[in-house]
Amino acid sequence: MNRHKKLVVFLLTGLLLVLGLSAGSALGDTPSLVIIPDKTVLSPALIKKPIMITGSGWMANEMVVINLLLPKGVTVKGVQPGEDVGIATGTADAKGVLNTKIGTMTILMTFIQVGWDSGKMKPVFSEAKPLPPGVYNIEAVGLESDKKVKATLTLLPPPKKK
Amino acid sequence: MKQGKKLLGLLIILSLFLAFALNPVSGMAAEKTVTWLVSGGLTGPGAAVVVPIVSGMVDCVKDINAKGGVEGIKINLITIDDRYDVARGISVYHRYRKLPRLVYVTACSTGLTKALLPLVNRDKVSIGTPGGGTFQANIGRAFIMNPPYQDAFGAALDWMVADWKKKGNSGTPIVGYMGWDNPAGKEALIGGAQHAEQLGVKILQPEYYPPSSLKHDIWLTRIAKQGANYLYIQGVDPGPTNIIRDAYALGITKKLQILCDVWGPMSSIGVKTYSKELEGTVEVASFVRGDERLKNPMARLWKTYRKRPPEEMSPSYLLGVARVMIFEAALKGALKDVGYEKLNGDVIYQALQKLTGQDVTNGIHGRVDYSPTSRRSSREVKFYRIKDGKYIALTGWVKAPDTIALTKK
Repeated sequence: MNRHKKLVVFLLTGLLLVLGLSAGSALGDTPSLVIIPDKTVLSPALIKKPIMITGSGWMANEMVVINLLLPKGVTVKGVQPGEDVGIATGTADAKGVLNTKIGTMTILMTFIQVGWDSGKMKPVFSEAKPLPPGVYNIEAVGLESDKKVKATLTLLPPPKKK
Repeated sequence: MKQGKKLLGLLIILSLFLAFALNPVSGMAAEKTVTWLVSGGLTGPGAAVVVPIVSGMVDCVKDINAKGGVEGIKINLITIDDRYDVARGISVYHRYRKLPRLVYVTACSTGLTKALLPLVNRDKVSIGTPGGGTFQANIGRAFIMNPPYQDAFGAALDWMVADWKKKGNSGTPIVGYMGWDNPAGKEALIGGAQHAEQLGVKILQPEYYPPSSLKHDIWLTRIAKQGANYLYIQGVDPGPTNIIRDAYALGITKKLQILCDVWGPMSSIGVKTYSKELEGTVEVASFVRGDERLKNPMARLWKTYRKRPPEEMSPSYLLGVARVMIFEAALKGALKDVGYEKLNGDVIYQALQKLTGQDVTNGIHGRVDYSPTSRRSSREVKFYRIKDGKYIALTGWVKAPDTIALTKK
């Protein structure tokens, strides 16, 4: 093999290695993500009965963050355009099973987007800018494995007042 | 042969492209920078205190960068509003963690700090946090920006005992405690209660209130009825102000001495609104208050960058400035130790621990206490009393007791 050919083989091997490593995480076990319920009316009732998030296939004891991927035209206070927003977090158990929920602060601050009265230390519902009804992509990301999985959450229009 | 050369050329170009694609900034940055990520509730709960802290940080960084940076290194301060939501803060960290030379993170809540600790440990980055003593009890990468809450409470207990004796009383006083009905509100007693026991001070059954409560009569009446001589209030202004307002209306401020923790009434919030009701309140401060804050040399930043009347400057603005000054000192030390090329989060972590005993904040707070065995920004607190709507210093910087050590016994 002449020098050029050797160099070509060497570089090709390196290239394949780099591509292989980059794709590695995508080729591993795919985790699952289930949102219960996956269709709901957005209301303060979600504080008392929260949206649950479960899934499996994560690394043992891995922290997982669940992000809401904002559709074009939907804005969330404090979030730059094009960025996603964390709506839950949890740690998988020893078997890689995740059980978590969307907490009170997230329902108030990200979903209902209440205002805040710093004097009274209370949310101001009259200043709320709730997320509009629609289908939202939700993505869970493993913070060690970098594994990702998507599901959807549908925010239903509020029932018409009689 | 010709084809081989062409293929080789193509591969070299492709390899170079990939190298830059995977690490786009290597060798390309025209400006030398370090990155500092701040996640805090800029809107929502805590914003009344967090916004001035972050504003102070932003202005101080602007000032340093305008002067050419720290030894020529500019600070890239990224501030994100997480609306006091831990899930948002974690997502923010995950998004920004791979930024070039991310060397420091500030989480403006104890809850977020606890959640981020495993991640910053993995990434070898240090994290600034408000005042949870757990970060002193378990030495790691979290650096507290105040004396821990229990140490401040311990210092307050020492002050109460001295004040009690100064007034000619025998024995020791009875102390009431009011705090948020959450881990932050209970923190001061972890170590603080043991310190009280050592002093022989009786602490009444603590009264925990929801941070959003508007009236506090039930808890105040219960404490007063049990014969408390002093009342220590934990909470972030305007919460403590509202409690004292209610205590005043009930006539309780005449019967007992009220003290507030480090986040007590701010000159720009509670003191301004309820000066009559707050008269006589004592504050255990970890950073300068009252007119002292206006006279501090670093108050010039407020004038320069905010262009608003000095009286509007929250004292916690200077706390933010102090955070940057401490970081600046650590960065200088790190650059001296390893130079820019080897600078990373771990080097800053080491450098922070070498600031022990230094006064780098122009008097905004006491001497720095960070060391291999301390995560306290400072051991020192200062006592003020509200008089005629102003904070008047009662003491200089005094060393707070190490109450966390008591929890380990």
